[in-house]
Amino acid sequence: MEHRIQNILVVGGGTSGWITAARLAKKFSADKNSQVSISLIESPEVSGIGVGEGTFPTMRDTLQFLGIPEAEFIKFCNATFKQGIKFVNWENSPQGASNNSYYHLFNTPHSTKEVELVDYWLQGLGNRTIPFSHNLSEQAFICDAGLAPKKITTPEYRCIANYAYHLDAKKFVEFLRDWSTQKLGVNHLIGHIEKVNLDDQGFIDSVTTKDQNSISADLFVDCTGFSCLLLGQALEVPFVDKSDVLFVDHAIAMQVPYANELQPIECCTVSTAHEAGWTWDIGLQTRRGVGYVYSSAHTSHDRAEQVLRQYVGAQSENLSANKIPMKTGYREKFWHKNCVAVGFSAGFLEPLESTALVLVEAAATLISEQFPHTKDYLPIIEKKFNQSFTYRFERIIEFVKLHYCISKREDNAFWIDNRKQSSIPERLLDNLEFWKYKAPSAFDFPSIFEIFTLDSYQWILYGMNYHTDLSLSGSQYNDSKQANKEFNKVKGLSSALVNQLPPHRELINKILEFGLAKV
Amino acid sequence: MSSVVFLSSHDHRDLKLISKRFFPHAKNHHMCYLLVHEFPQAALNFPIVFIKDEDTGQFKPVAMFGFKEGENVFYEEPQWNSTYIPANIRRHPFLMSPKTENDQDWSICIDKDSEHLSTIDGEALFDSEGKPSQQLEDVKVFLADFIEKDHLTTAFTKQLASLDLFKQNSLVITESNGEQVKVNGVYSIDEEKLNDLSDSDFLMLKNRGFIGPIYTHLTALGQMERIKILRNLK
Repeated sequence: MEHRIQNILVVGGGTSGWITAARLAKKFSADKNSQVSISLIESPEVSGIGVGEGTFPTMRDTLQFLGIPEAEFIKFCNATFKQGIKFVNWENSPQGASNNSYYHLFNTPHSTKEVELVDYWLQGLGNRTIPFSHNLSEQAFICDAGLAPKKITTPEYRCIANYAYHLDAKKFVEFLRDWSTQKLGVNHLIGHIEKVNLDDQGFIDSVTTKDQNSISADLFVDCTGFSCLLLGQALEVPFVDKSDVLFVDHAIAMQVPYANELQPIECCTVSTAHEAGWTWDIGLQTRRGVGYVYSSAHTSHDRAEQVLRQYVGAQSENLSANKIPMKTGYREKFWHKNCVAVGFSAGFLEPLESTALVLVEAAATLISEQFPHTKDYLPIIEKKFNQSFTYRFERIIEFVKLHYCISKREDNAFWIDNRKQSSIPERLLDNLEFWKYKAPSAFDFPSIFEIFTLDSYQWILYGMNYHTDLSLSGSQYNDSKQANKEFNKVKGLSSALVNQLPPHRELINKILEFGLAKV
Repeated sequence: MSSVVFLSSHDHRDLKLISKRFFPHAKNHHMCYLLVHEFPQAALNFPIVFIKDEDTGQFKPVAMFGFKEGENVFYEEPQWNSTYIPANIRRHPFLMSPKTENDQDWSICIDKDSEHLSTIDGEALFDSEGKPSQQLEDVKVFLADFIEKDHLTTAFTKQLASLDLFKQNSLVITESNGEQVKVNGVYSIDEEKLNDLSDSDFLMLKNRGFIGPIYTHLTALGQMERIKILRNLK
């Protein structure tokens, strides 16, 4: 008789573990015939990383899919709205006290079927006295003004400007755990795994805990973080190191309280470039999360802490900083036999574009939607999954690298080394060469599972004033009358919304008091 | 513009409330907040729907007098041609407001520019010693009752929202020039969701006294036709 896959054991109780367990449980609780049961085992001895406080807009779909009321999530997780990333001093070093900055917004640059407006910007159209982002999306003005991406009357999960969240990662784990166990029927086990038992074909048969409990399952999800207990240690799937492309290998982080409860909340993650890396600055309801990600080959740990404290300012004096080592790269395979790794066990990339959680969401979705109901299907899903996630990791690495290799900073070897051809992936080198005289287009992003598509590239390339000379393909762009109309539309929408939307903190306070309607 | 101030026996000693009041201040209002207790009388005249409060996002019931801002088919100079006028209009020119922010004590305010107030005609609000007249005592009772019923109305809509019973109403009207216009921001109770409620939830609604107003609202949706007819006559 065919061997059914019915018992899934998720190993690890961090964000990745709970998102995966919740998504699987939600999927199979709706399907009574599947008889799939989901358990999650968590070690009482291991604590989570606790950073990763920015998400992608996809998190809205994930939370809604799980049936979570948005206001409850916002209340519990200290969450705020994130409308994109503001990159400060990435293009150039600051000139004295003067910073340069640009936005990677979650709204796509304005365009119509007929007019790809970005390309007309490259032809010199639009209002050249304001930045690229402000010509292409009203969201730039909304962020400048510190406004929320929706109103109190906007239904939950719906938006006026596209948004994701900033959240307290530890609270988020607690929230997902309670929701998964109380509403979705995930079986929660506590135990520190000491041994992984393989069968004679090299499949995982069971795990043994410290107190000698043996737990068997048909499919194991490895969410054990950097330790990669199952896939890496037991199944010996090697790690592909990518520190030759992305140099940062440490983070130092601190939590900074607001000066008072009226202090405005930022609408974006603020990513500021420094001599040997960059700082993230994330505004939650009650505090900011700030951290410096740096390359220890280009600076010392002491100097890094100094840079972080200088960035935070006088407030940092009484705050402690927490150093976290990081290892950039990913597993040669993510799925092997009856084990799949999700989260940092699968791979780690610097959090420049908040890709950690979106990869978890994507993996959890793929596992549940393409679920192998019998053992016969394991080799096929293994191939599909590995192809899909190798592709994603490679593309994300290219996108993150893009930020570094089109920078003009010269202030430290860190920035100069980042532009060495030998450190840039070939596909990215080709694209950058191509985009010198051709506008980036959908042809450059062929997969429907692309995490960063055309619009993200446009925000970064032209936010940083990458030079694309369209004089050879100029005849393609002959509708400047329509283009000017569209630029004016953005302008009109901008001034209308800036008058209508409430300040970020005001909306958060209202949501805490009144909640959000479902319709 | 209305100018609302706290009522004071010192500043307003001479003020009188005129006896024939037609509430023309609402003649251009296309909707009006409705207490859940008023649903039966209102339903005989107007559609009852729900809108979201701009400030809180919370649902609140309203009687509709027209389909767009400024349109009121139920007011014909110089008076209302309906069998009922909502309490929120009838309370005019009085309202209750907390004295200061976070204050538990509510005080009476007046719109001092209201056409319903006079220093010549009508019933005095204060006697010669500055004590509230019977007229003003009646107003106080009315306003206190309004506030109590307002709390219950909020509880009613909160309950409906937490059971996810609202749906956005798809209302399309035809203008005199034939143009079709969508009316946004109007919500009603979704009968399908209502019928899908568990027995225990339905029983809970019954025990809280909410079943009556729910069906009254659903029936009153039929009054949309009355507005269509009346606006064609105008």
